[in-house]
Amino acid sequence: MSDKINTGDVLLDVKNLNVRFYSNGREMKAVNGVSFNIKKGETFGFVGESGCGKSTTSRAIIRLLAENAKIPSGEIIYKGQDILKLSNDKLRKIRGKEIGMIFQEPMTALNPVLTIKQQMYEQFIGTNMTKAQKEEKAVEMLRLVGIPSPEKRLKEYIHQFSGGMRQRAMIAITLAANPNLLIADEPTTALDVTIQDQIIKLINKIKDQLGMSVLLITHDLGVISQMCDRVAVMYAGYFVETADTLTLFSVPRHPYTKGLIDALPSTDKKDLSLKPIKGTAPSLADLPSGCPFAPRCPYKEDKCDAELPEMKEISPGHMVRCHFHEKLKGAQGLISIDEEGDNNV
Amino acid sequence: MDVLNYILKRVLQMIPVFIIVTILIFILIRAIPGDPAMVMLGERATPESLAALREKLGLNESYITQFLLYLKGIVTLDLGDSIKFNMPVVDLIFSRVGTTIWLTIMSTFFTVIFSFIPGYIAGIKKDKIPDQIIRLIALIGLSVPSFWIGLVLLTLFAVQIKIFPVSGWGDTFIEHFVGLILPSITQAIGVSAILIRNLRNNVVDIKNSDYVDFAKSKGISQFRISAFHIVRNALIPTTTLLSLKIIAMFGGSIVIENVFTLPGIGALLVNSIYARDYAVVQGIIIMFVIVVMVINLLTDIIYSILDPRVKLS
Repeated sequence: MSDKINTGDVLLDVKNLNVRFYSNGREMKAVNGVSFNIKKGETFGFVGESGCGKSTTSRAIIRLLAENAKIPSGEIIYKGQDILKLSNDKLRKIRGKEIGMIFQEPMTALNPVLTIKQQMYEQFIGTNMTKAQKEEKAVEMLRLVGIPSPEKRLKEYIHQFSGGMRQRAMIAITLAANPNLLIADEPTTALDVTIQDQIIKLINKIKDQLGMSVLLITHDLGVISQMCDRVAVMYAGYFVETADTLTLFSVPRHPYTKGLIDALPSTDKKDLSLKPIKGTAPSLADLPSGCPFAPRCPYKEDKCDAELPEMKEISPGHMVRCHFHEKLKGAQGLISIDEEGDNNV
Repeated sequence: MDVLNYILKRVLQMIPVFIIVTILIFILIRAIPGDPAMVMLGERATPESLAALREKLGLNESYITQFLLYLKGIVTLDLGDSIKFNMPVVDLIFSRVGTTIWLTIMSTFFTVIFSFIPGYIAGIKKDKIPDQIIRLIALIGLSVPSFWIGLVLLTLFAVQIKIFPVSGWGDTFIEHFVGLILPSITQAIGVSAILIRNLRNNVVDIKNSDYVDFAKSKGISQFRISAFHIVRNALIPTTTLLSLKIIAMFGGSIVIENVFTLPGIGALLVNSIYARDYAVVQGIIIMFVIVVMVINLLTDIIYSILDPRVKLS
């Protein structure tokens, strides 16, 4: 896949990943044939509604899945090795140090009975840092994420922090191990809007400062637009459209992406009423044999029910899973640009 | 300093509770129908001896005076004399309480051994074979009454295979220890069953929690995850439950000491009730109240150490 905007080295390359869950004898197809790569220094976003498989995909990268999950096929190539084939010992060396993760709700993601210090020091196990170096690094991390009086707060517990500070503390703990890739699973969803903005700016700043890559999971297109270089839109465990952020917002070519963008409330639009996508996502235990979005799609034809469309590259770096993406040609996204000029921005 | 202040505050709070309980004990003992002197001495007692006993027990005084004398007795550790043993109640209790304390300590020890490891394994292996087996055993332990378990253990290990004494607890420290093994195991079985279930459920909740996932995402060892993130947190509610069960086991000595004929407080209480030795009954109840209050205080302190979210105030 060529990409004119970002041609850096590939850090993580996921190929044809599938994840299945088994409960009560039923098989849930949580992730279906997902392929993408993340380059050094890039922020890649997954967007989609709850239960579309975006969290599952991101957790599969470090094999942090529930006991009833299986990965029947796929490859997750990180620095030349397939994470899915690693022994548990080697996997542990990837977790934290190479790929770190932050969660949606810091109040539940940090152990309530251990201090921030105790939880941060777990990142230093196996290094030959002295006590003084650990202390120095820990204080430095809290300072980096903007927590005031870090020496004192290091000894505190998560319940002693306010909402925004909690998320900062978790980010500091994760980054203390110097990961090359940060998986951020809905890092701003549990926060109120002003704090949300601070955290987004913080992650952007630190990413540039440390030269990390970020995989961002969110259901919020606003967050995507502020953070991501490239985006994948997920629906029912499938990637339905991937593109650089500008292209996705300006010339969406999948009906679902267009639906998401149209559903955004905007003060610019003449019509102030929300335009939801009608219907609900299909059950992962009972996916339609054709296009998973077909039952809700306004552009649906007979072929859509019969045949699952393939991911097709319609312009360099812009891939769509739709038989009739041509129908959306000329459709208006959030940003108005000439159709011809969009890839050269 | 915080802890000392807290203890002082709690002890002060205990005083009104203690006074209310002593009033209740006073009323209950006096509410028993019949003339205590008559009950104690029997129907063929002479009027002179009855009058002498009434005088000795202070029954001729008004209730108010009796109550004040009773309160004074508690404060000065003079709870009267035992009719049956003909010695001060306080001395009698002190001579017996050691057995019961040791029984409770050993029962607690066996409870921890029997419940912590199986409870953890059952939680980690939820719905798998080890969990099924542990839950079945726990259910049996919960369903069978403790005196019956005691009798079965006695039949097996004292009568059939003569490893343990059938009754009593001997004279030396070693004999005491050996004599307490079967009774404390008997106590521990029923209590362990409850703790296993509690710990199992805590482990099941915690092993799927976000913070365990976060710990895993840091690449730390499975041992560290188990010890510092799962067990550490799962034991907090279990410890509270255990302390309640320690109180229950202290009370349970009433049954166990009679099954195993141990010279403890429980056996003394039962004998004193039969003998209408009310001074002793009253003394033991007061002692139980104090023990329960002290264990409750200790529990709250331990709880605040285990869980920093709990503030001592």
